[in-house]
Amino acid sequence: MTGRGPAGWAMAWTAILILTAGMVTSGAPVVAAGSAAGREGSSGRDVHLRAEAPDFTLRNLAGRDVTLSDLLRDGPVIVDFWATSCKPCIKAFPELQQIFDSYRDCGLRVVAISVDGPKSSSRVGALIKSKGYTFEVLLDPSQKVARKFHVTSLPRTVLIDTDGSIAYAVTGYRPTNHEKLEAAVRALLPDGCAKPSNDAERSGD
Amino acid sequence: MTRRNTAVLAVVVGAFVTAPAVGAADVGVSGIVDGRYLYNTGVDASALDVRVEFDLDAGPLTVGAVYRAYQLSDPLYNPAGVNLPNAQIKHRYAEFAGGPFSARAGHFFATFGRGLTLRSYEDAELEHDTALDGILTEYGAGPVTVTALAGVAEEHLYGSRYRDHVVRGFRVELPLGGRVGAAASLVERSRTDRDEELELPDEVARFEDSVEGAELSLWLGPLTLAGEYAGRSGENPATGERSYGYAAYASGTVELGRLTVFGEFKDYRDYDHYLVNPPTCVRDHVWTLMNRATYEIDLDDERGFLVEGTAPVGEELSVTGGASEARRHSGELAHWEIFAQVDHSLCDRASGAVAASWSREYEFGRFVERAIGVADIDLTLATGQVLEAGLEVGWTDNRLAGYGYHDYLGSMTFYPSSSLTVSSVLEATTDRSEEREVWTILEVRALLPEDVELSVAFGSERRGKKCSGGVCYVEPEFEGLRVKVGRYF
Repeated sequence: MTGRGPAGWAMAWTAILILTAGMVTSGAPVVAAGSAAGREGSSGRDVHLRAEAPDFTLRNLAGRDVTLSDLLRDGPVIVDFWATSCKPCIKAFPELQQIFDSYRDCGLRVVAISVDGPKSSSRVGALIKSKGYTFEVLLDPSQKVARKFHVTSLPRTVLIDTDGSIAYAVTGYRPTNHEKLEAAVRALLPDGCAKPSNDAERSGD
Repeated sequence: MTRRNTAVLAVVVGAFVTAPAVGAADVGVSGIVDGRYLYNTGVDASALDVRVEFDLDAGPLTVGAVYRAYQLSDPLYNPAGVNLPNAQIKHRYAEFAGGPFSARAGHFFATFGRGLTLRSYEDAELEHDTALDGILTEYGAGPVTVTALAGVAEEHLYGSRYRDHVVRGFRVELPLGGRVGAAASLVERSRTDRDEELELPDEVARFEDSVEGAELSLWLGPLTLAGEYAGRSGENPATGERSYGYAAYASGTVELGRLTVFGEFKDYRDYDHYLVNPPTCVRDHVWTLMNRATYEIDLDDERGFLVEGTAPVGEELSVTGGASEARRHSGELAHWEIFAQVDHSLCDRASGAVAASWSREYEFGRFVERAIGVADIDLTLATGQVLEAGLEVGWTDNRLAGYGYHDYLGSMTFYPSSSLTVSSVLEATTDRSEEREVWTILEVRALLPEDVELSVAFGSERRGKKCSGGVCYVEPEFEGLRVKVGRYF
């Protein structure tokens, strides 16, 4: 077994610097978004961290095309990336359904985008129907849309406001995720429209 | 930097320069940084794995890249299990999307239908990447969608041997009314093997074939049906030798009151290829021990089925049961599995699941038989915090090796707050082929401000197969410290 050579360490530190640079850069929106002057490039063009969700069209379980920008005309949209083999994703569905039930009359739309490949995409409909979920389920077997959202871990939940801006995003499942998500949804809806679910009432929101 | 990467860099710069000309004054940046550091105390070696993805959007133009640095302190310690360069621009692309037309140059992924005629995709967790490098165009003319593509994917075979797959594909999707959808695909493929140390003769190195596929989908209220057939014909250009193969797949879902039944059928013969990934008709399990025992299908000689039913019983209980079988075309049994799961909402503060599978996988006239049971419970404590606990027990009778053993896996996850997760896994085995009997790992994950996720794990993890989407990867044994950082931007 050979030890770490100087070249190996040099490369390792290069990578650490890249990672650090990436983390620092990724923390930039707070500064950049708050300072228009800071966002101006030398050419006068605005270069900024993208705060808008990319538009997409995917097929639903009934074979019809669904486009994000069309859904946004009704109200905010929760986009949830999941797969049939992802246990935490399926665990989060009852809470997602609960939020949809509470705010669908206010225009909220929920789309669960399955990134299942062909192997398991046929099972998506069976799983959703058997549990009685009524939110929209879209199929992304090529993970074309998941890549546009840079999804590398599941579940990834993104709340998009009617102007296309990303209001809230979270990766992974935690039992209290839905409380934060619901609070973010309520902040986007008109006053008097929001009908808090039992959980939100319990949490004192 | 290679000539190809220089060209892509020129496209990136060009996109910025031309952005105002297409009416885009702003350039938006988005992406993710994923970093992973492993220090394996067992071999006193470390690995650093950093992946940076970013997109630059300027109106209808997008350019992007995926950069990966993978650096080992010792070349003999390679947790990825596959040969990876120290640093590479893994993917780079430029895309134009305007109205019904889109075109992408550089790396792309594509799936035709259910992956019978073409499937190029990446699963980073399984180190699986069949990206094509070329051009992908799509045009949506009303309800009709037309896709045309051409590209090349490089497959590393072993040692210094590589295979280039050149692909040209064309696909038309046509809805026939609201309840019927049809599609047709044509894919021409040629492969060239090359060896960095040997000159390979043409009759070994080259092969060409084409695949024609047709699909039909029906949505008839509570009944959904889909079928796909693809035929393959090929020729060795050096010898003129011809070969044929086919793949047939059908699936259906029917709602019978509260019962949902799902079934699928497969028949694959002489059909294996780097760029196809048809459905396996084998259940993808979410439980660790069951997933590790996933049967890997043989696309050259396999037919079989999977059937599964789910029904709620009362308001609190849901029952799922299923079975799958695979045979060779000679009629010889290759695999079967029976699976059942019961989910129960025990009370307001607790829910649980129990599941069991029983399977046999045949080889050389013998078999490996497995029975695995799982119990899982989620408890909400009086303080509002949540505790999840799971137990998996497996029994394996390996008639190939001539012995049997037991596996045990216990897991516990505690959510002390909305941004903190503490989990631990303890695994034990009586398998005498393993060098150790017990593995245990503790992991703390924290969700930090600005969408940053940090996880730190310390302990040991057992080597084992990990399967997803018909692709399996053997995760190597690990002992030591693992730190992961992820940040979306």
